[in-house]
Amino acid sequence: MRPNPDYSAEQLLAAAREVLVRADAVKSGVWPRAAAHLCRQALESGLDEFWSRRVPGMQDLPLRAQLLCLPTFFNDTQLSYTISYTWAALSNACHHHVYELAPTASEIAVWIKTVEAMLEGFRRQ
Amino acid sequence: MIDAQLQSDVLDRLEQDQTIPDAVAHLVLAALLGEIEECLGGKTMSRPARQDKPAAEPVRAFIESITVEGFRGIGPGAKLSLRAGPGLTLVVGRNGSGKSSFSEALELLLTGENQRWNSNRAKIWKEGWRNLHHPHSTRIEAKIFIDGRAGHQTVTRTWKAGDALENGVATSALSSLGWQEPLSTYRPFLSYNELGSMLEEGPSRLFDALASILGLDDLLVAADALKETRTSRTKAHKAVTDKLDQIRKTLQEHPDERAPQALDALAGKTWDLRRVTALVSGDRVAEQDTETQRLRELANLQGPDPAAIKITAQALASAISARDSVAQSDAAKARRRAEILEKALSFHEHAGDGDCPVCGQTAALDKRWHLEAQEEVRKLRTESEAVDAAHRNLNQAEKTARQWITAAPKVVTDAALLDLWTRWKQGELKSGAELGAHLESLAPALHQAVLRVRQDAQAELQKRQDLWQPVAATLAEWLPAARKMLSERDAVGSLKAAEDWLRTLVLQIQNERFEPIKERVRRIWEKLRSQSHVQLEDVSFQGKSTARRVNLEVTVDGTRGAALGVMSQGELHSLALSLFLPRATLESSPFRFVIIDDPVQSMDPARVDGLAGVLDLVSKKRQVVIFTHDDRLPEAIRRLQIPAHIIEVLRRDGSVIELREVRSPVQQYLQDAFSLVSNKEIPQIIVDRVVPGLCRQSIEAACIEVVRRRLLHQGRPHEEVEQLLATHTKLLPRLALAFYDDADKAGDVYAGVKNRFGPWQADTIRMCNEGAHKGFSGDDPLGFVRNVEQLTEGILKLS
Repeated sequence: MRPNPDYSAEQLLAAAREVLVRADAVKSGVWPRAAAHLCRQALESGLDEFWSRRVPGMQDLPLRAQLLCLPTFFNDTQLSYTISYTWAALSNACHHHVYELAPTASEIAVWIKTVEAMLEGFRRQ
Repeated sequence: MIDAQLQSDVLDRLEQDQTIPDAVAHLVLAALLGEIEECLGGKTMSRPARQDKPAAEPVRAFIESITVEGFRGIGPGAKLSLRAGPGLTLVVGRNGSGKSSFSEALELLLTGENQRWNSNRAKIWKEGWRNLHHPHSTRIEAKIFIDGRAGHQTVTRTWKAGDALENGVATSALSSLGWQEPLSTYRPFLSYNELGSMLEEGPSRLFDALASILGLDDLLVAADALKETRTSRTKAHKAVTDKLDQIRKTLQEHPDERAPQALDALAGKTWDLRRVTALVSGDRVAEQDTETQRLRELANLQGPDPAAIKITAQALASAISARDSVAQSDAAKARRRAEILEKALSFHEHAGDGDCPVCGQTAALDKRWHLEAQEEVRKLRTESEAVDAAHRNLNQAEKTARQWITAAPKVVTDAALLDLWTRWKQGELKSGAELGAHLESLAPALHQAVLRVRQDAQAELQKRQDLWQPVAATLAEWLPAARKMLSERDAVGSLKAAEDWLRTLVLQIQNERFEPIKERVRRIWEKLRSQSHVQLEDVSFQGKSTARRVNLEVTVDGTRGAALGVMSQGELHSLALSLFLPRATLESSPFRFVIIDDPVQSMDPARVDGLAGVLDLVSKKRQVVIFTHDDRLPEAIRRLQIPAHIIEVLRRDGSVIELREVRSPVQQYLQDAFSLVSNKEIPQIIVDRVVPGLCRQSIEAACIEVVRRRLLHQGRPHEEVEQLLATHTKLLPRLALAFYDDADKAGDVYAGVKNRFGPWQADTIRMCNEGAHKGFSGDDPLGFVRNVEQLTEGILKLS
């Protein structure tokens, strides 16, 4: 069995951006959901890296708990709340919901921007 | 022109109506023939010959595709392909995906306008109609398939950069379709906005919208024409009486003696216009005016002519001097002497020579004496005659002179002139030189005075004419309108009666014609109302003109009430849909398509099921295209197994629109996953990290589908089911619901999967859950997706 390759948050985010413009992904109409999945994983993976550097062990807690603690350890409080909100939205988009359609391009753009800002913030700290 | 069948029907009813006065009946007929003015002008109206032409078969048009570029949410050209025939198509897209742009574009293309233009936000809409990413040119094209005709009609409307929305250029094919009227009558477009507003924008709007399908617009046009004519008449009559008020005021203060006469003729409500006409133009009447008559006489006043008088006076003077020259000779004495001598001669002739019989002189009378006496008599006679002539001449001259001396005409009242004239008259008693002097001395002064009085009178006359002239002109201008008004004295009343008759009839026919449609409205409402307690009892047209309304009679649990008062927003939308679907799908409509934009917005799930049923029914014979912003209607359509095509609209950056036909969410997620794993070009990171998530969503969707189907089938209320499904959003609880009807049994799910679908499928579930976060691990992603497919099929088979 092939091991699960460990992609960095940056790689995942780049993949999310790529899926938006790839002709084959676009043609099949898979891009909105694919981008949402990749973006959410970029967010989770970024958080994971942040905790392993700053508060090892925190990454094993449930995501909700991690996000609750984030403002305490991350110096950008406002961004922490935005990340929290974005994760909820991404998580929502990655489950099937009654009557809901795929996310829109503009929703995805906002999510990618937020994750970008998060990774940048984490790098600086 | 009015439909022949309808016209004939109306005229039959007109003839059968025994109560309608002839004048009114004629006006109704005239209105139907478009000859109201002629009728009022006295033309005799007669019923046109019957025409029994069968109504033309309407064409049956379907939409084959709609292509839109640079309009609203759509940038580069995007084509929505439809199946040109009866059937149901759902176009599903998130708000802002550009889906509504297709329906709006089609409406704009065909009608040249859009319902939203009339809304409160019209300005914003009008300004933002161009796509921001594609501002250069806008193009809307539709391919229209007409049943029974080969090929298709392509109609387009294009705008160049900078063109205003209303200045789009349409291809001639559009006008050749002749759809302008049917588009407003049958209106195959319905939008959420419209559904909401139709019942709230006032009862007359609803009335008009529904009445137009009944094909009675022409009758209303005729009624409107009657009304218009009446209003214009009332206005014209008011103008006449207003003007008369002004004229009366002017006349009351006018010095002319015609003024009171005119006032008299214009008194009351029936005016003596013949007399007024005479006062304005006729001289005959003016002669009765004594003051003017007096002035006219004075203006023509004649006095003695000084030049002629001078000649007369000279003649008189010469007659006088002629008489004076014979004044010394005594003509009488000479005549008497001549008479005596004649007698003496006569004596001598009888007596012969002898003595004088008078003085006795001896032998005085002899031959010689006789001859001398005869000569003397002749002389004497001549002398006396000259004197007589001089006297006669003088007499004649005096007589001539006196002829100048006349009394002042009665019309003269001027004191100075009268004084002069009295003195002038006194000359009558004078004679000879005195008379001549009288004439010569007074004539110039009298002449001057007469001249003065005459000129004064002429000036006064002119002044009077100048003053009357404008009044006469005003009256002359007023007269034709006044004459028309009097001749049409009863027209306004008749016009009103004709209009009322026609409108009452329209109402009656409306209700007659609406009867069969009403049944369809009720049927649709029955399907849509779901658990609503509101029962639609009757729909009828009532009232006229501004009081017109559609009466929607409903009962709530058996109690009567007014529809608008007792219904919720969702119910109102359903009611609007019930009213308008039958309209849009009438047999007489050339449109075999109905485009409905977002009908489900305020509907609860149960009503969505009802809507799905209604659409199923309608789409048996019509091409029904529904634009909708979420999966509620598609879900109901799939669950109720209603045949339909579902097209998903996605909008990417730059307003790039993608359209793809989709199946159920379960299949769609799977299809997406397959497309990723089977495409070698896709980078591994994307496959690894996206596929498990999609697979998890597919299984979740399958769970939801099976749970909803099962619970609804058990008779559980829609709301309760939706609540349950919305509460549990994770994979394991959803599987627990699918397996055990109990989300709390999530812990038993793996065992359940093993039992039901085989042990390897428990790994599939695990991979879905973990892989959604950490990515796919394994060698065979394609095999994994196939397992998921099998799993979903298994889940969907659960009862």
